[in-house]
Amino acid sequence: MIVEPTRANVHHLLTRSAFVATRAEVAAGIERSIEDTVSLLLDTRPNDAPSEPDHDPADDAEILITVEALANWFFRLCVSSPTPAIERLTWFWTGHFSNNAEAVEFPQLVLQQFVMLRNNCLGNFNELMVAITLDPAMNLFLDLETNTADSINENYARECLELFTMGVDNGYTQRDVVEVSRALTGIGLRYSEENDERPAATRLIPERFDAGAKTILGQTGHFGLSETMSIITAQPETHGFIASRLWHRYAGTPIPADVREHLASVFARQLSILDVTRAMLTHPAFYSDDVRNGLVASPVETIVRAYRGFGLDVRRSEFVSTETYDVDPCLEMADAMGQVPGLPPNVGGWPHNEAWLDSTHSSGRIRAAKVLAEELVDSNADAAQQLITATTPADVRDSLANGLGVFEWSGQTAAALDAASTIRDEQERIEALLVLALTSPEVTLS
Amino acid sequence: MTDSTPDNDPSPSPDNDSKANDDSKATDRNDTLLSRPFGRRRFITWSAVFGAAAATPIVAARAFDHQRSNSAATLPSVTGDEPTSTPDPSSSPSVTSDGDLILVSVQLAGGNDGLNTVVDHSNGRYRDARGELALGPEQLDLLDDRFGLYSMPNVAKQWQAGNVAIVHGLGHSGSPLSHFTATDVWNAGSTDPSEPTGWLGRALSAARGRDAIAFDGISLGNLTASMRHPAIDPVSLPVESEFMPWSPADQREHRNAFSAMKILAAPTSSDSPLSALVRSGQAAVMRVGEELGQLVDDQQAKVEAAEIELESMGLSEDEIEVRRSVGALDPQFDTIASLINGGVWTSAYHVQQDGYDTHESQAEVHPYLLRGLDTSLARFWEQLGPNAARVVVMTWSEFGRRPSFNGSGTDHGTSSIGMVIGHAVNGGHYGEPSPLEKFDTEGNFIPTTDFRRYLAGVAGSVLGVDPKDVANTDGAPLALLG
Repeated sequence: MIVEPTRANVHHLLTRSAFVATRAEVAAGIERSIEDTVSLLLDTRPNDAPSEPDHDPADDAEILITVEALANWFFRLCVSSPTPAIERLTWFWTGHFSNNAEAVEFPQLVLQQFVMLRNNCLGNFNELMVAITLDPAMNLFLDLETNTADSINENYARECLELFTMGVDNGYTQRDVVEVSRALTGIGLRYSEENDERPAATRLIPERFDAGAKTILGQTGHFGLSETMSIITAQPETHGFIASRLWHRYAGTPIPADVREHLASVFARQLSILDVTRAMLTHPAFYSDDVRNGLVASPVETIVRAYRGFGLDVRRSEFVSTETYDVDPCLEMADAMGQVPGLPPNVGGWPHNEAWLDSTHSSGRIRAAKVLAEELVDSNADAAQQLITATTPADVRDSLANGLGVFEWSGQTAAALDAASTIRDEQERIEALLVLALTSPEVTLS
Repeated sequence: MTDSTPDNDPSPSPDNDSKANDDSKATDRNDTLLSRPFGRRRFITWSAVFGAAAATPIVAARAFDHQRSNSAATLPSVTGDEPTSTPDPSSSPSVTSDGDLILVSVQLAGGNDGLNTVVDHSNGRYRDARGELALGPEQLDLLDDRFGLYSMPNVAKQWQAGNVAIVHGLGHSGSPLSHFTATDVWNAGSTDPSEPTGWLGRALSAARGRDAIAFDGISLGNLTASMRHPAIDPVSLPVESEFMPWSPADQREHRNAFSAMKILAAPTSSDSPLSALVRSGQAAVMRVGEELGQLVDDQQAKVEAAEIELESMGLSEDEIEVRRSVGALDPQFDTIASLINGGVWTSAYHVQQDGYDTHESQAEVHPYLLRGLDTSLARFWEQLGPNAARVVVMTWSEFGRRPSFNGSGTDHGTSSIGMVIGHAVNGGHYGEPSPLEKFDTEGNFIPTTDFRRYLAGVAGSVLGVDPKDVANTDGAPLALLG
């Protein structure tokens, strides 16, 4: 079955896969097949990321950047990128391999990890798993350095099987956790030449490696890292689990069994993330009504959507003193809504759907909307100006839909917006409109 | 095709040639953590996590001994030598209808090491299993001739006053080793992690209608899944924020916006399930703002004032960071105290303390976590004043740790301990510790006290509902209140 490139379908595809559907992109999208649009979105060779930290590392050789600078950098990447679908997929993988930069202590390492994930985000999953296992931020976060032949630390192996590859209670046992831990012993850290307190990379330390035979998922041998990852990534459970995680974060609804089977079989062929992502985004089930209404946009997705839609820039963070960074207000929005890139709550990654809708997070959206309103009032971007100068309720609604990439407002939201569009004071009016728009189902559910 | 080669990836560069100093390097790393200066001002809230040992606890640990000796004297003593701050059960309550109690559920997230919290210190098998992590009597507040309490001097004083029930061997057979499944199981109060309602939600649902209550339940931070139930409307409060939208003052200032928001948040029959939740979330914000906004704003002002005071005390950056970390739970408990003292009638609260996933550096991290809990609880009791008599605090954790030491910390385990604290509590030991003589096939404890007996017993008695409405227990619900 072919998915028709209707306005609604193109809008849905762009919103979910590239943060926001602009009117120009939708107009272009209805002129070609969905497959072609997906190819354009995904077959873009990743452009050069703004991979430099946001200030001169010489300012602070000790930790290089703070968590604020890391988050600022990531927003700048997502908002300014000519390949938003690549950044959206990078965002997915940063949540899948969820490392907290505060706990890692060296946010620079998490930034390096983000860049690595971006470079691998459409590549081969087995290579990605080898790379993430050798990633220094991951090493610090899940204690791989203390996993040695003498005394294994199960932390990484358990989360690797449970959260990164096969899925909880899905074909492995506690015995496998222990055996994988043994196979991943000896992955230590190498320290920076400029600052011997700061890890710079991982290194293999043969004396700490358990060279004995292991039995992993039914196979026995003197396995190390590469054999172990090959075994794990070859499991059908892994193929189904990765398919279901992509679906979870892009579609939002429970994955139908036949879709899971189909995506898993595509993924199993070459472990190509590009192939499985393409298969998901072109699958008819992805365009069902359930899926259209099935995902709460995460705060980061909402912020990037508004910034891109309204044409706002994320400014570079500046290192003001040993005390503070000056960062873009989008970080204030992110903090208010409870999702600062680089600071996920735990190894399981970010909340999903209902968890974003409790009164804590719902009030955070209001605070964030007020910050956004202030930015819009100060902005010279066309879409922002269009909203500020709109005089009739219809123009107000239209300019908000344009800036936030909303397909159409429901009658109920339109009535609320119309009530607020009569507020005379400009700042007060824009603030009220943004509060309503950002808390509406149309924007909250992308 | 996309180029998936990490050509500018600087991270994975294993090298096999440096063999000489790897062990000393591992030691160095801890030293460097200890000496790394902190205090870079963060406007983003510190977040503790499952996973790596965060740096702050390690820094905190360095100043720990010093702080322990000082703060024990400066902290309000709930019982013992300062009787003025002792909760007085006979004083008239300002909050609840007569005889009703308030439950505060404290989730110790990450898996608290029960074995090193309530310590059977003279047991040789304990010392064998734990090696260098084993605690001796000199490191403990002794509760009796068998057990000592680690890093919680204020709770130990409460114990001496008969206000603490310690539940041993708490868990269930076949408990999962996954944080997430195990947390789901505890929240559900059922061994089926997919059970859609929570144990506290069922208790609150059964308790509903007994009194005119402001909120069924209030969760600090995220809304806890333990309060899930279709018949009740629990709410959550942000722990740290600039203001609470739609307080009475905010409503007056933004009258038109508020009326427009009422239009948007009105339930509609055509809503999808998630759309309905979007609207009910905003309706909850309006309700919270209306009833609690002023209290929360006042509380926030206190937090900010305390922060300014802390920064103006001339302390070192390390010391400031230590105080922030040890006091991480204070804003949650302070908010609850201000709501209770402010006359908000709510039967149950939930707070969460993160960081108990001590795979690494447990000796440094674990005492600091318990210490933070202990000092926050002492502060909580003091702030409650006479209302303290109405409050019962219970702790729980998704699992305990493995009996065996892993060289740096401990891996995921099964049974742990529960603590129930309050004047209404019949203090003492409940149940037997999981045996140290025989572990399960994975080297973990065999639980002795089913967690559903604990949840049903505590929630049933504190909230005055039939324990059967809370959980299906295998065995009688624990009777912990006296």
